[in-house]
Amino acid sequence: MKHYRIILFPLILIMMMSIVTGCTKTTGVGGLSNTKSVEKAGDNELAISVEGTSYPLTVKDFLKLETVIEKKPENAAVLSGTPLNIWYDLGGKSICTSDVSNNVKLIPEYEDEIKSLPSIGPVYSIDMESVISHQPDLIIAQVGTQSTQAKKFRDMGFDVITTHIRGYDDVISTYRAFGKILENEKLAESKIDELERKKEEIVAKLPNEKKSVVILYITSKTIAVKLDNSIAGDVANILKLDNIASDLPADTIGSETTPLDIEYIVEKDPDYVLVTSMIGSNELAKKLIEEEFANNPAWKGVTAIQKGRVAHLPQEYFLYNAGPYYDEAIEYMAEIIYPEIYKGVTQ
Amino acid sequence: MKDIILGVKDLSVNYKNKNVLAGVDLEIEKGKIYSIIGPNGCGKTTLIRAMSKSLKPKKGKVLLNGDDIFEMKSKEIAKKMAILNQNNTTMSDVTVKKLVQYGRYAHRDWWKGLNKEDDDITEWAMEKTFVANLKNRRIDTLSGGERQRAWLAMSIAQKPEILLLDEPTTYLDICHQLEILELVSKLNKEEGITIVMVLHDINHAVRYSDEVIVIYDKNIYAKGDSWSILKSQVIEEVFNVQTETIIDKESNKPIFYAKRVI
Amino acid sequence: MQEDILLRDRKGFKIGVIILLIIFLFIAFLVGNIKGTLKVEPKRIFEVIMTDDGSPERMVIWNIRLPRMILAALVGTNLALSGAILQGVMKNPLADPSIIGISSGAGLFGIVVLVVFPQYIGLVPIAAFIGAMFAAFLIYILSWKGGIQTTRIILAGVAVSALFGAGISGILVFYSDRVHGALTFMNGSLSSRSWPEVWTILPYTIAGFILVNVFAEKLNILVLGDDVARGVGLNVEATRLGFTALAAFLAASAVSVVGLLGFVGLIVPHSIRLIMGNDYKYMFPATALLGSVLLMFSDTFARTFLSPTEIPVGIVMAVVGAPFFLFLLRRE
Repeated sequence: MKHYRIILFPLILIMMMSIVTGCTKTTGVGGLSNTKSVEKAGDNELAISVEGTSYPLTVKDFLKLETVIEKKPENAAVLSGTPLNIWYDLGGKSICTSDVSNNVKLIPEYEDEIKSLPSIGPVYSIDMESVISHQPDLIIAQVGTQSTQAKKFRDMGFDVITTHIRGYDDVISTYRAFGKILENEKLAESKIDELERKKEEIVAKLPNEKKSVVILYITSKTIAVKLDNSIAGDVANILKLDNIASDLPADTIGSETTPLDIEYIVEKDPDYVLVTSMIGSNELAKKLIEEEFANNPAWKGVTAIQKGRVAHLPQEYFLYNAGPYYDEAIEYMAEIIYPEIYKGVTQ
Repeated sequence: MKDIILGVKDLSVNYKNKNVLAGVDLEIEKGKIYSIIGPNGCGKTTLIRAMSKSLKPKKGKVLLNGDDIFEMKSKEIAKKMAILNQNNTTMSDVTVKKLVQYGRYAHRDWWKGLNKEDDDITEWAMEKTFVANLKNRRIDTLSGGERQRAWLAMSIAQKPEILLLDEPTTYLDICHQLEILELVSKLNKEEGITIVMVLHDINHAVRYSDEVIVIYDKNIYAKGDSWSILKSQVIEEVFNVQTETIIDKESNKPIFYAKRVI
Repeated sequence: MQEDILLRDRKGFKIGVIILLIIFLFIAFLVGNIKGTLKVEPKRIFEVIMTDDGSPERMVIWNIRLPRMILAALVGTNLALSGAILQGVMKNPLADPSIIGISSGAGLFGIVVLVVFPQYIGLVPIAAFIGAMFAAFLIYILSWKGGIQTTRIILAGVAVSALFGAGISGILVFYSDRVHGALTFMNGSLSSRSWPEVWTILPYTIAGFILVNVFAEKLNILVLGDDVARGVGLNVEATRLGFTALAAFLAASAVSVVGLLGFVGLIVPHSIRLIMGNDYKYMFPATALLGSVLLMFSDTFARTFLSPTEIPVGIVMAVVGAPFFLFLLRRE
């Protein structure tokens, strides 16, 4: 029996395919992409920076891509909530945007205007044709949910900036960069000074004792723990709190969460348990986490939960970056941890 | 000097881990008609399937014109040997003509189409089996007898030297049974095709064959023409029935009538 | 008296159907390029394809709609052909690459490469092919009982599909932060696919299409039955292996670019069979064409129906396909 013949055919096919794969340029499998393999700005680099003192300016964004903008944009398309907030705060306008969640805290002055902007779809699934039809001269997209589309816009020849606004430093560098782009540096600097001042004010009142926290993160699928590079983690860091999860490894490179390990939390016994969420509403999140604590006996070992030192961190400050209101986020957490010292923000 | 077209040497075949045939030796002479009979489960179907390369034997050889069929390619075998199976159910909805054309597969290079010779042979095969008027009918719309003849046409389109048939009459009405057997007989006489067929009816076997092979107890129990079968009381021993023999004057062959169970 | 050939079996009819399908192909192509958020005049379509005038229409047509329609056509062809082959080779009318797990096998192996060896991303289609062949191998082994038992094939296939599907879900959950786009992968989607995906799948479609048509006659003989096929001179094992490999090849390349898209391989071959019978020489081209047409229309619908949100096209196929599947089951 000529067995080799049977192997030959699939082998030829595989060889053909190897030749062919040399020509492919895809970055994924059927739409799945590996976020790890994308170049990103490191933790010590600025999330966004602009070179030059006047137009033309060179923008270096979070994906380490440089974009040269010839002149001040007349028809910018800012495609997600937080950069949109900062953009408008500095006098910029957008011609369209993605659906903005009600849990995002928009600047009241511009709230109506922003809400009436034409929609180009939900933030995680924007309609590229819609964006193109508005003929923007600058597109500001969000890293992660809009990375693929941003790349395709870039390939088509649009000027694209991809933003990543996570912690306090990102907010500052975004203000600075947008200030240059909008030729409104003075206003940008004053906003930055204001944020800095408020932050210093809060930090100055911190007592000497060091408290520890664990930041839980509840979604419809799971409960995880947030690391230092999350919004809540960043705020905790500013408040000089000890995040017991600091040293734990991220579940994947670049991620801001680590898997939940209740025993670890019991062992570290933090002073406070803070809960952030990505779920329908803040109320729903509160309900679900209470159920979890009640039903799962493993939590009984965590003193903070037994003593009621659990607080919910609202989405408008800790899921969505509050941008201009970042200082309020800092104040919010400060008041939870040291209620005697800080008063007034929590409702 | 006997002209042996198909030889079975020391054949042992297992089916589902049971030994069905052990050490069978058989010589098929060119130009003759052979019938293989035996009780259910005796191994007659197993034997013919091994002879047609549908089953691989545990031991032994099957030689077609001296060549071991298990060393040959299916295409080479198909040019000389054809097989008509017992049960031909298929998903296919081909027309009779297309089906018969498939019989020419072994004689063509697969990338080439059919040539004039193939067309002529296809027509010839359909005429010989009386299905020419059905050539555009789909085989799943034919009656049992018609269908069997269509499959037979495909087999002879291969222009085989030897034709194996596995219970060709089992699912047919009496008249269609005779039809097929008459056809097979005619093919043998007119075209010289050697025939080996598995039959379940002893009398059909006796009437239409030159030699009858009786399979029993994992081997050939008896082999010979109808008179030697009669003499050796084979039927009583193998089939457990007492028979009375009548002579058919027309064919001058015995007819066995089963009288009672032994 | 010779009986007349049924209309269905006439060569002229079959060719006519194929020509009709080609016309539909062009129509689907046009519709796909016309419909969308940005309004484009039909006339403008050809203008902007020919010349790059920098207009928004050019951007939208050239970068979004055109490659997407081409991709839909290629994927539709691959999946439909794969289904047609499997139904013949596994002797079961319910065989289709997604139902019997060949697509899942492809997906699993592809994802493993993506997640664990992202630097070798170019090997994904090959890994997918190996996964698909492995799944096919498992199916044959599980359903073997002295020969291929056609009734067991579907059971084996469903089991294999569940197994690999669980593997995929497991990886997607475990590595959920590393991989993006799980929902659309599991359902199959052409969203944001463009020229790179077209170039990835094109060689497979061309090779696959040519090969199936060259060897169509062998499959015609194989479906007559293993014993009959062998008797007539066909190398049954080689034919079965070769065609299974082709089916795996076609399905794997489709999965590599659009994810787990189901039902195409089921609906299309059966529809063609109902119209023009089982002769693979005509059935393969017709199936390829109908697969393309179906997917092109479905994708256009998926893209525009709930604008600006996109429905993954796999969901549209499931809505159309599931009732069709039940209808087939009842007929058996």
